[in-house]
Amino acid sequence: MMLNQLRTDFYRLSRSWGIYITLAVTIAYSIVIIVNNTVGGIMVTSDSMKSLDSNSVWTLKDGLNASTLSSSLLMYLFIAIFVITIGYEFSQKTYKNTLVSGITRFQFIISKYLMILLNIFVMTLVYFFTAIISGVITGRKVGMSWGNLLTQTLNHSIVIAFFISIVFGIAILILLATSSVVISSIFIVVFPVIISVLNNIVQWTWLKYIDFFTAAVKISLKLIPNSQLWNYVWVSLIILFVTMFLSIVIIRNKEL
Amino acid sequence: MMTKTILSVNNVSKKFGKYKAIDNVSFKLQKGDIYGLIGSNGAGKTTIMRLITQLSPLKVGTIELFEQKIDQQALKHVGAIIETPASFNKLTVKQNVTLAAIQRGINDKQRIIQIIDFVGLDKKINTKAEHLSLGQKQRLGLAIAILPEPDLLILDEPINGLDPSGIIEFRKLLLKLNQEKQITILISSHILTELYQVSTRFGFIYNGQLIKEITKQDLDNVNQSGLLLTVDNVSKAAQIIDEKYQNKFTIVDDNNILIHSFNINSSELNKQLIMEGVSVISITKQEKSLEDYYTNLIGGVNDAKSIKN
Repeated sequence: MMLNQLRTDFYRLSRSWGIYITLAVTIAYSIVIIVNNTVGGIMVTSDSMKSLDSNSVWTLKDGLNASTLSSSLLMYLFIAIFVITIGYEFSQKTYKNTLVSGITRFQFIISKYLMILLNIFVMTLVYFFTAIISGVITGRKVGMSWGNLLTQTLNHSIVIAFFISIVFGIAILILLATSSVVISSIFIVVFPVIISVLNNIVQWTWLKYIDFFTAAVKISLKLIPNSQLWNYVWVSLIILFVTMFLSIVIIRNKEL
Repeated sequence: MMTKTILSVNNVSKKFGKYKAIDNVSFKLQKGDIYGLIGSNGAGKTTIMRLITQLSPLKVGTIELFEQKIDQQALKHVGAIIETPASFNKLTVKQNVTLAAIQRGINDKQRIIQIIDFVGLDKKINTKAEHLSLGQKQRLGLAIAILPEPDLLILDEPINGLDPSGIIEFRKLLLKLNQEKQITILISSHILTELYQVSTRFGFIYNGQLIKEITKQDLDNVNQSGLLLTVDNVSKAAQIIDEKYQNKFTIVDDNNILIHSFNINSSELNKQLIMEGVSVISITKQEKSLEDYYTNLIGGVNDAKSIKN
């Protein structure tokens, strides 16, 4: 049943303009970063690139790093994936058809999360590959071996997709608790901002573990020592597990 | 012949805060039934259907589908439209049905087209759901519900918003599903004439309680229509009717006879009775409907409550 649900969502998403628009904006954003040699995103400045020993004329490796630093904006773009994959089920009440099709609540929640994760991963991969292709077209040097570059691209995509998906996992929980696509989408927008503001005001050291996006960028750019790496991963996995568990408990006991 | 129980609702209750929406409801659906759930708005019809489809968590009582405790697996054999029919607005009729097919693991593309034809949406196959009328959306909902060839179809107020011709077609469609595909149907409506036309059994819900269950045959017996004769000599009048008209009749009491037919010339009958020496006090048409039965039933419950209080 879960496989059927994944196929169903894939069929629906592949017929949604929203997904293609998101993909187009993701590609355009990546091209702009590389062609203009600029970094963008939330709370990222050009100084961030200097700390990565980048060349004045970016290599493909610098482009990959710049894209990674700029990827905080992807989370906002990917809200469309969240809304189309699970938001529409609730706003258009089609969950009634889905949940009477024989799928369990557990399978429903997990398949939705997996579909969001898969979409984020593919879009992130497209984002980085666009950066590489744009660099190649504009005649940039590779800056490292092609093998390493491609491995890093894959690693960055996995790490960033995973950490973004944690925020979306919490958004699923909020959607189920509030039945509001708007509230859950607003959560995705304000969550990183709240974490950053709190970081500046209260300076609780543990906040860094739930600052998922910063963690993703730092892990991708190897700015976190290996000794601490697994702390981030474990905290994220535990939060994801708890979020999924609570989502299943809520949907099992909810008046749908 | 042994009847197979498709659905068994046993002592089910449901509370929303302090409000008791369903109070100890029990009923069964046998294979082939079209069970009409009758009740006013807020009586609890939708809540019962939501409990059966597990859209509302069941805390008190048990529900068995196909003689097994209800679970998600059993729902594979159920098609349902609860409250309003749901479909993805931006997808076409065909895409919505295809989506339901993928969800249910159905790979037969021909069946998708057949179902769309069956519900009469063949001309709207490439129309987006958001551009369908309410009646067409009901049909799309029905197509999605019957696609997996369910053993049980649950329809909550399916004729809401349909125009008169749509209601007639929908009624035909339900009878076709029941007779051709042997689908058992649980249907609710507050349009009683429509329920009467399709249902084989009725359950009356009032304030969350199932106050009466009756088969259509029993209902027709209780709810008899025809010509009501009020005469001074019932036995003689009965003898004359039996001899001259050979119609089925019932002696209601010492003065009244009900002839179960409207196809009798009342002036001719009057003449015959008078010629044979029977005084006819009145001849009236007696028409009783499901509405009358429902009104009497609810009136009776209210009277009983007021006596109790």
